[in-house]
Amino acid sequence: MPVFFQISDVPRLLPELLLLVLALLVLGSDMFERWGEDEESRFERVRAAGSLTAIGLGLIFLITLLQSGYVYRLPADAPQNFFLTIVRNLQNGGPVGDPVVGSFATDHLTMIGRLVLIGAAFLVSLLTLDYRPANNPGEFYALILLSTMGMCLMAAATELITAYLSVELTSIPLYILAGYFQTNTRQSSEAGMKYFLFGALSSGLILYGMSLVFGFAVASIPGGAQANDMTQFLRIAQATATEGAAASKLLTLGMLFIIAGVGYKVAVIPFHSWSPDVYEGSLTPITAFLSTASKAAGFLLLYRILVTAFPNLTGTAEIVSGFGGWTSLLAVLAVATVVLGNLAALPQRNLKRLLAWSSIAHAGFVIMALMAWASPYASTRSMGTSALIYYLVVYTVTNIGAFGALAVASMTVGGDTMEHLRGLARRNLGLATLLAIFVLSLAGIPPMGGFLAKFYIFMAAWQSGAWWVVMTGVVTTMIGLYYYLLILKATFIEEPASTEPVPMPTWMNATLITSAVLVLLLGVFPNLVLTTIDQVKVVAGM
Amino acid sequence: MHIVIIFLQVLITILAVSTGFAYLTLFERRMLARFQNRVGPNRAGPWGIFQPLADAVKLFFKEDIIPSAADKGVYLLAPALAVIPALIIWAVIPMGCWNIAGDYQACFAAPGADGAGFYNILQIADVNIGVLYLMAVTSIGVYGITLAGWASNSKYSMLGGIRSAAQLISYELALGTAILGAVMMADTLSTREMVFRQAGLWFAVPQFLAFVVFLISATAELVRTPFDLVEAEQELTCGYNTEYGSMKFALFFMSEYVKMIALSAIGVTLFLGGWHFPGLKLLGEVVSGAAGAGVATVVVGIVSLLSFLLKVLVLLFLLVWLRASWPRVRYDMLMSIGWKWLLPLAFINVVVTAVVVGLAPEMNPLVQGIILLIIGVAVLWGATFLSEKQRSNLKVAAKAAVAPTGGRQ
Amino acid sequence: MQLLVQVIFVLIAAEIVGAAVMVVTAKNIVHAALWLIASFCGVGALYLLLEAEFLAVVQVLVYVGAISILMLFAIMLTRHVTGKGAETSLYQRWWVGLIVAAVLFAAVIAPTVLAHPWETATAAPALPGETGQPAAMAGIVDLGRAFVEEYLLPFEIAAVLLLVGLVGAIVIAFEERAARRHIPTLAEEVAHRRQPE
Repeated sequence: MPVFFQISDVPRLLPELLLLVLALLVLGSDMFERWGEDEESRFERVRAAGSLTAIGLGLIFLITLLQSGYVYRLPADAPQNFFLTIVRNLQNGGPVGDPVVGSFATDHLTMIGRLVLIGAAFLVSLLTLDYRPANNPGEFYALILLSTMGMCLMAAATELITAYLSVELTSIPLYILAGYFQTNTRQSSEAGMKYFLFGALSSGLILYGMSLVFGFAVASIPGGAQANDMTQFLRIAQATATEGAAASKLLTLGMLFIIAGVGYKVAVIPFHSWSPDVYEGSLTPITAFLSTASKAAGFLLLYRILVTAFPNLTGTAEIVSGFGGWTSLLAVLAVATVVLGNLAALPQRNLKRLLAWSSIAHAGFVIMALMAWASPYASTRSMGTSALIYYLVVYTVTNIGAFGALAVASMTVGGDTMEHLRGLARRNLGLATLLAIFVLSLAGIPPMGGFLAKFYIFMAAWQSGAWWVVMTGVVTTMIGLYYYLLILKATFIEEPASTEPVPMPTWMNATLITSAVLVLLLGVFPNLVLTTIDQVKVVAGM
Repeated sequence: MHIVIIFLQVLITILAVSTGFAYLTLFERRMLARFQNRVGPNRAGPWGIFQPLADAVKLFFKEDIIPSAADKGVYLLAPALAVIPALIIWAVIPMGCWNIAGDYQACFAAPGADGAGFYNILQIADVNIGVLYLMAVTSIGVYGITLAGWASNSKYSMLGGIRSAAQLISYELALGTAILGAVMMADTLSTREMVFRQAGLWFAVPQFLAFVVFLISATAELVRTPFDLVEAEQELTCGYNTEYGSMKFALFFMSEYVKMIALSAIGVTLFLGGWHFPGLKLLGEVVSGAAGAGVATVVVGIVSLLSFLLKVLVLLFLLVWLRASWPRVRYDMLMSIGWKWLLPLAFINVVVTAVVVGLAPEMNPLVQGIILLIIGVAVLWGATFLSEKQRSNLKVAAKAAVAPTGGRQ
Repeated sequence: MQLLVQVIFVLIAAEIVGAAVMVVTAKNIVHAALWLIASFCGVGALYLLLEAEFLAVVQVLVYVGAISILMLFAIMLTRHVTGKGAETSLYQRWWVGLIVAAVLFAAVIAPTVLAHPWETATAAPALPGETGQPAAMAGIVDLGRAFVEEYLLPFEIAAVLLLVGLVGAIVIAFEERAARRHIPTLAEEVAHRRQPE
């Protein structure tokens, strides 16, 4: 019996709908701005579109937070009045119920994913208030918003077609954002083109894998009914639950393609080659967006697909005996990613490229969290889930901060290589300190959030028996420390080229301070978010 | 047996269409001459009826030239790609109703109800997605022209090819959306069923807006005046077929005219009731009572075919009339008509049809038709009013821009 | 009949694959586009063989009639790429690519294909539907219903996706022009027109 869309499902989709409305609003309002050729009117246009986006995203973030009920839950016996009824209706669309039309889950994973992604978009839009796009501001911000909408859908998709479309909805704006808003058009176009070509290939891989999986799932129901709902993850899991079906290599092949396709999107190692060039060529705030929100959405989608559609193919964490299932595959990917990512980051002189390789390495760490599923115990698995999401939260905040600090530096100093950062501490101590906080968090130094995030991941992976993965992770973290410290050395110890003080743009300053406070808070009081994250245990229908 | 019948159907259709093309050229030339107060070709045979034959002989015996810089394969492929779609359009068009089983009443019965013994030899293929097939085939007709333009390796041809690609793609949208309105009325994609649904009221009435949009965009699809920029003699020396001569040119010529007949036939099928004619069923009954069902089937078949051809001829005359009366539009006007006027109008029509049909699906078709007709005329009037207003506004603005300085310095 | 269908299938498949190979090997970019069209047509024929008429016609309508012609259009507007310049270093070490592709293919596809228990023609799968009857082929009515029932969300997301494509195309096309000369917005145009009064 197919599930139909109910009018009461609208509040459950509210954040996505609001993002869409905001995007249309930004697009439409830009049309009525004064379009001049001079710098001043261009600035005005960017400011208008940017402020609208930032304010809107902030409001949507607050609404989503209210809807999720994580900070405030309306008590059942609250009085009936106009505002409280709105809140009540809003919270009724919170983390409850079956997926909407079988294809869109509004569980805790979705809620937290939305908060992370919308929050990331909000921070990025604040960054762009000062580090501005070179042209077409209305389209620029609308594309950011639509991409965010796609990411939220990715985090929530419980059905193959929705998943694929949301991946596309995320990627296509990002190709354009990466390629067309730089003043340096040559490098930027190269970035956009590379990203587009790799992205198109990966979309093809995902689609191919999905069609194999769907075909297999339909073929494996004996005398089954209408196959219309066989694209849902749950139904795929049911159809492949039998012994023979799970052992089939065809299903594994489909899964392989999906993992490879999503692997391109999140840049794990054999599928990473686009990312340094794209990160280097894009506008720095967009790089921040690419390396955090788009990756986080990719991991959430990967997690949901693997966990809900292929729970029968998990496999083990052994490398020699019993190699098989997606945990083994991901173990290999994780090891390759952390090793190569960290090693390749060592010789980089351009900080954007360095951070690009470092974010590749971080993708490897995130994948380690999925190792927890090699363990048969539910407690270990839920620990892995918590570790994964905690890592994503910390990494998103940290990396936006790091790229933001880099954006400030490159905007005011005039470039983003190590040489440009030399002696930054003497020119602007605040900026240097903020940069240090983010870099140390990325490196995983104790008071910052990055340390705990890595720690939880290692713990989860260790308990599942993937000790060799954890050992590699620990060793490569130490290697990574070297290049992170190189940045700090350049900033704090080396002599500056000039002693002219570096100004700090207002909104970037605000963004960086917010991110830094969050990084420290997450590191010192992890329970602020961990209690919420722990609710994810039950992903829709697992 | 079945295959033999189909083969014969195809053969006869192609022969008929080719002959039709030849005499359409004569028809057009004679009509144009009348419009322009001339006589037209009247030397070859009585009233010039051997003129097409003479033209064909002339084209056959011309020297066959391939430009040395042309891309040979594509250059030779292009005329074929132009003709084939124009011919295969005819596969799904019901040109009449001649039931081979000898039961004329099946023609007037609801399809699917008792259509088991129904086999209409005046329609080659009765597929359930006929209208989509028509659109698909129309859409691949662009290739012949575009590739001819590219393969000739000549600037004029190239410009003609690019223009054609842009123009045909733009107008295909309006065309398809206009057809959508008729499809929504008929609730089917089968051409046979489309005709059946128009037994009472032709769709040209309820879908008046769509019909107008269809006629304009079909003219553009055919690249005929006033939309014939693709082959503008004065600027492009005939555009895409500049470098083509002899039979290859004749093929382009043929494809153009066959397409003209075909699109008229599509218009008749979708909007003008197909082969239906008031009183046709009555005629069948009378003949059947007098001379038996077999004779009635033959009579109905022939009359329905004639009725279809008559309607096609009316549309063809309209096209010739347009050519005689109107100058060519400017390129930017062409694009603006297609994208800013026809497409929105077609969309409005789809929305209006959906609302009216969806709100009261059981309404009397005549009442429904009149409501839709009134809305359609109103929308059309509004659009005309708007475009006039826009034009006068632009004129005022242009004058104002020129006036203070006394023109450009 | 079964044999006939299989023969037709093999012919169509050969046409699709052959045309696809020509797409990547053709040195003239317009020829590559034409081969791509041939490949698309083959896919349409394959759908027809599967009795999915709607899909077949839509394949022709969308891929052959719209997308490919746009590609040709774009190629023609950038004529200088169609010449001999395209045949440079791409073909020098083609055998390396061939070996890598073959090895990867063998490593990934072969075990799957060999190990999967394929259903042969003798063991026909149980047909879905009541009492062994084949379920009705999805006609356009079913398709339309699925779009507003089970697949409502994907359908709406696809609409947003198209909007994104539109906005992106405008960004790409508009950027250089905006840098070159001033283009009035709607507001400016309206203001300009109001001026005379």
